Amino acid sequence: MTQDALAKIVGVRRETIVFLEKGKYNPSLKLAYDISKAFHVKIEEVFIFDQDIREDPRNY
Amino acid sequence: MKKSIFIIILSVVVVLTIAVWFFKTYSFEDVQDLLLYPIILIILTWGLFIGISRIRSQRKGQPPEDEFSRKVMRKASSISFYVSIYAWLILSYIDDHVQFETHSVIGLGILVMVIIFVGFWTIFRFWGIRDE
Repeated sequence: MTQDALAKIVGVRRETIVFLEKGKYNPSLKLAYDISKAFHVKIEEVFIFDQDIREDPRNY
Repeated sequence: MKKSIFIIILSVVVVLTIAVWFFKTYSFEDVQDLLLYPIILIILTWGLFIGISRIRSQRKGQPPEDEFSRKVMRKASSISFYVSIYAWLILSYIDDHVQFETHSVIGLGILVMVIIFVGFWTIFRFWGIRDE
């Protein structure tokens, strides 16, 4: 599936998909759900919640 | 890839041609004029970039703006507002020491605010927003 096709399915711009792939943007829960739905898989199979990053106080 | 390089080269040639034409046509009396026109050109280019990217998205059947672009706009707005307060503070300090006309100070302040906003928007748009 191309970035353009996925963007069209989930209703976002291609740039958003590019930034998601590069890990430069954290999607909203709705977008994460829509993307996993587009691939017919669970959210946790597409996105990984990195606990170490969240626990780092420099990220707040 | 080749198409994007061609567009960049063409844009640089157009901007340089306009710059050369500007410098030959107008005689700049002070530094303020020298700074003002490139800044206006940057702001216009930024506006053009946003407009073109929105049209391109619409043509592809994608929304002109989405959650990422809205978040970039929101974050750039909030941080540039915060930074602009300090910019006005510096400007008022300079105004105490160098005599400017009131409308020049206000104009310069607004221009600085726009530059700060465009700067932050560019950073978030091209570097992304992590951990939010």
